Amino acid sequence: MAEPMNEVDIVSELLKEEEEAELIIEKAKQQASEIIKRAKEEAQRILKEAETSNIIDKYCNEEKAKLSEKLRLLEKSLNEEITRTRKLAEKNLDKVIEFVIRLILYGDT
Amino acid sequence: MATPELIEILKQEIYNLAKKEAEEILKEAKINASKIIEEAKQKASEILKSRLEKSLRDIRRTMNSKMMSLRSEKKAELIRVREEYIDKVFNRVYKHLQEFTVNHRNEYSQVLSNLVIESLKEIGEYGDEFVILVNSRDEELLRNILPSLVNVAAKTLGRKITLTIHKSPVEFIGGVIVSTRDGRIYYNNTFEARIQHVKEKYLEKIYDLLFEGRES
Repeated sequence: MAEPMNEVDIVSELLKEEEEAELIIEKAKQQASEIIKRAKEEAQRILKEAETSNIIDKYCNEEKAKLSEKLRLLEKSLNEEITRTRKLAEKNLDKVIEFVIRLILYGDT
Repeated sequence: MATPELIEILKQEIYNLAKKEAEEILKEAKINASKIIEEAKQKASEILKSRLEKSLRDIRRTMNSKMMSLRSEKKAELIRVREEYIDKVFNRVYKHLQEFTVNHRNEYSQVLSNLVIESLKEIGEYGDEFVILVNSRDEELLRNILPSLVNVAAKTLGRKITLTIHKSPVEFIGGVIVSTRDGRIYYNNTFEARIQHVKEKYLEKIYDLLFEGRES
């Protein structure tokens, strides 16, 4: 059986152990602080990336292409209508001239 | 008095408690770090979504504006084409009428006669003596048919009237201006006046005929 220790030795032993325990906790706090700091830095990087990233360009370009095609088709369709109108007018021109001349010479009877 | 074994147990306990607290601290830090990252990811996603929506809105607004411009530009062009053909119709009508008065004298003579009678129907109630103004070119043509014209006019109006032919001081393509003797009442039945009348009364019909077959 071991010899009992005197009070001074006990307190000294326990204080020493307390100091080591505090060091462990202090070290854990420092590590925790470092973890939070890195997380905050990472969060900043993520946000900056979201604000400057050109990932949305792909979708914008797709939308632009889709609407440009729509615009092209609209222009084509409107040009065709103008061409069609000209062709009809050319086709009907003589008939209309005859109609107007008859109205002028003979009235609307 | 405590034995060294007991002290060792106490020391181990202190160590274990410290270790446990340290682990708790690290665990909590990791949880908080995860939260920070997760929130950042969430916010980043919202930023991207918002940027995308704004960009798409801008693109759509620009393209809609281009489409509207295109529509109004083409609509104006279509109106110009229609006006161009209406002008073409009346320019050609004008030329045809000029040619008609020169090269179809017999038929033109009948037309003149009809125009005089039509004018008298309009202003016949305002007198018994009327003046017919014609182009110098048509004066002789009208004089040749004057006797028959007087007879037809009498039948039409139901009474005898006097018709006098004068050369118009102003030239026109064809047709006549008939007025009461004092010139206060007149009926302009020149081709120019009749063209104007046709433009006012029949323009819609002319549009329909000219662009017949067109989808609205």
